[in-house]
Amino acid sequence: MSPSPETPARGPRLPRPSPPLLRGLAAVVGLALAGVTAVTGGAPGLFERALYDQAVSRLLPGVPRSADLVLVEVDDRALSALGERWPLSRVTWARAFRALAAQRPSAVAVDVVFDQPGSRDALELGEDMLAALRESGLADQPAGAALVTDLEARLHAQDGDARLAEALAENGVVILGAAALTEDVSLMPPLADGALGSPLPLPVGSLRLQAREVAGSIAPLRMAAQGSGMLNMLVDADGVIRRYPYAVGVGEHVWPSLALATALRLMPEQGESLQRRATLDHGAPLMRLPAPDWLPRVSLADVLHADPRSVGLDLALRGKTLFVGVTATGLHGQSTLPGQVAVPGVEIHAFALDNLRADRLMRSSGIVALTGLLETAVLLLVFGWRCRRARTLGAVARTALGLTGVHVALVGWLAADFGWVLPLIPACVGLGLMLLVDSAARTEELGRQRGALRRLFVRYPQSSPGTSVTPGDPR
Amino acid sequence: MTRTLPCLMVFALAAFQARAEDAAVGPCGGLRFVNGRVEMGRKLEPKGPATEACLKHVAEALAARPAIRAVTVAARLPDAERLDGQGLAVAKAAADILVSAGVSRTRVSAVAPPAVPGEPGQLQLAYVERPTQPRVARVRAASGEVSAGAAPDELRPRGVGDSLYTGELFHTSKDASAELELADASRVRVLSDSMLRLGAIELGANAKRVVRLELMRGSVETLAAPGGDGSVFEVRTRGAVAGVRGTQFRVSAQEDGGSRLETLEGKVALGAEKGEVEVAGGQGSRVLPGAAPEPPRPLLAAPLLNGPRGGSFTTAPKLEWFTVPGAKTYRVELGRTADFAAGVRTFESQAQEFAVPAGLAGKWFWRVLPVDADGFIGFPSKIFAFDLRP
Repeated sequence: MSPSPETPARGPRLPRPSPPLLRGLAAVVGLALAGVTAVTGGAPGLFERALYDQAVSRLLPGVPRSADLVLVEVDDRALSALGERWPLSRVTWARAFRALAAQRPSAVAVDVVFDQPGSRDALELGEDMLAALRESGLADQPAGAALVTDLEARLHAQDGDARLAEALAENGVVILGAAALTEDVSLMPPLADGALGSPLPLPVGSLRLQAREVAGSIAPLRMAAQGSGMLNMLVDADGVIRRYPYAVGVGEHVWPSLALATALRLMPEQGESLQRRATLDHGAPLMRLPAPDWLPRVSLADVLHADPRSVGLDLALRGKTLFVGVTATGLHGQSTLPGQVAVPGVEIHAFALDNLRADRLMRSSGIVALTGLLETAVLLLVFGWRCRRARTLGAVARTALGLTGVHVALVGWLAADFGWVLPLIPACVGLGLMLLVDSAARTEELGRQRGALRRLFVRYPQSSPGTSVTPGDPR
Repeated sequence: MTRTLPCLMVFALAAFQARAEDAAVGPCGGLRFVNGRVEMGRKLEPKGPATEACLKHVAEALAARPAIRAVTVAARLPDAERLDGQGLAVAKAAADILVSAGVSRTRVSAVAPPAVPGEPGQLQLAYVERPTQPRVARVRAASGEVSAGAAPDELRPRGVGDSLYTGELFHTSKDASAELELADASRVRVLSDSMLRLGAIELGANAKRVVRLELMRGSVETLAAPGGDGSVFEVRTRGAVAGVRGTQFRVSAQEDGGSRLETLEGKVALGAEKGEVEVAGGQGSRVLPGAAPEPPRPLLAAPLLNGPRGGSFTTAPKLEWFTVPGAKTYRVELGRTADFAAGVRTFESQAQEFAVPAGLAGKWFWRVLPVDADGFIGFPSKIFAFDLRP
């Protein structure tokens, strides 16, 4: 039978999905988000980074003020007092490390890589002059001999690399910076295997930060120092540093970060537990942020120019763990922490060390990610069950609100007290979608019932007193 | 240039990584200059005649390396022996030996860092190279006499780990070979009696690189690392230029000015004044003096080895393989490592067998390459090994 011209042609109508099925689909969306977060390394996931940043920077308690960590900074005042531009000469660095050695710190972590030899142009000119003096026979005469001796002494003093190596060896507690080369082409010359000493006995495959090669300071400085630690950071796509890589995989080896290398130097007896903590969350756990001005600071200008017997300097540095790095305007890397807090990179290494030794690390992958997935599933399941039982939309909304509150409180409590960072958004998205689906279904059902009632009233109208309406007549 | 997968590199990397070093042992038990550290075959005791002899040997080696500008001697002694400046005194005494052996005093310094807990006292040496001259290659493996220098009359002996710089000539004597690792991670095997000049090697963003090598004499086998768009990898000879479009090839510069190219994998452009041909994997071509490159010809197939396939022998075994059609001779290679990077001995054989010379004790890997009437070398056979224990 052909359709009449007034009736539009229609295909076969699909059965409308039932509200429980739609609610189930909404729950699956929330659960899938939690699953994606879990398999991509844990919270904070895609849509919750900003929320995480606000929470961790404003709500979570920060790292308390340090008692034994000190930042020795190459600040604007130090550059001005030294009359030098960055990078400082090796001779100046040698003076600085000698001055620090006099204060007997427990460790000195240096946020600098001396990957190239210092300039030797003047030294080579001096050596040529020495050779000329000797060849000419002038060195055999008293005045010439004195000149040779003086020139040798000056050349000795100006050999920055050698003097710096001496100062590092004299210090005996210096950990130098190194870099894991992650780009295809790096500006630093890579080192051969084994040049950085002994790698950590940790599994390399699971680490979050992997690199092709490593670069470090020149060999005499590495030899004179106590060790080297990687300076790399893990920067998220939005430019914020949320995780600190305590261990870096390079080929088949694992190398420690500056914070871990310093911790191992300070607490060798806790080596195993430190390394175990360092491998949490694939070697790069989330960090607790420091409170403002948590790290005492000493300018390098004060270290170099103060009287070595100064009581103030002695109180500030003796027995402390010193982090040496540049903070002068425009020179330090703009490392942005959650909450748009910009700090010098050297400070991040310092509070990463503090996080590590106090076991304040936050974790979000592995069992924590699984817990987050389960919690999301339970929450959505409870809400789905409640949707079936509740008689009114208000009751469903109140349940959603309550469950959201419980979820937020649970996530906050776990993060604050246990350092477990569970995904927040997936459960909220799931609850929201389920609420939307439920309310739409209830509204539709209400409309359907209202239409049925209306039709009922039209069929059996109530007669007003004094009127007479024939059934079927339009009103 | 497009990125290509270096299949043969997989083979090379999967092979043994151990390197045999034929360098003379000397008073230090072997000497290597690697990454700023002077590595010796044995630990250097703080004092004693053996230490003194070794330090004098180091001084001689330093004199042969003008790029090294300064040396630091470290005396790592246990804490009890470091007290009151004793550690520094030991280091300074060692530095004095270097100075007395000819190293300029202004280039030697001494330090006494803390010892590694549990380790006996020892001397360590580190050096600083000229900073303005970036290294373009490193000797990864070497056997026999290899040398390098700015000019043919300035060649000085070189060993594993040594750096090579732009413009330097690298030379392998007869029965010697070496493998160089270029700054872009490519590898160049310099066969016996060859001379290679290292041109500039530029590394840019997005893996773009420019590598130019000049083969003055002999043969090189190249395993080019993948390069980004716009990359150049060229090996020049007197009459031709081989520009890489792929990953593995051999270039030979012949005495008469001709050049021969064998492409094992990928694609290589062979250019001369009178034309250019693209030589795909499994093909070879040559340029005779004053002529255009010949059309590519297929390379000979890999010989099938008969044996021995392994095991120990008390007398030198006879190596056997099956005939390859078109082969005039066979090149038999014995190597100390399965990647044939070091300790390689090369022999010619007219027949399908080769008697291993007496005196080659120890474990050897062997393979055979067919050579046609025009000297084109075909694909290498599989690699087998034997252990000779007289």
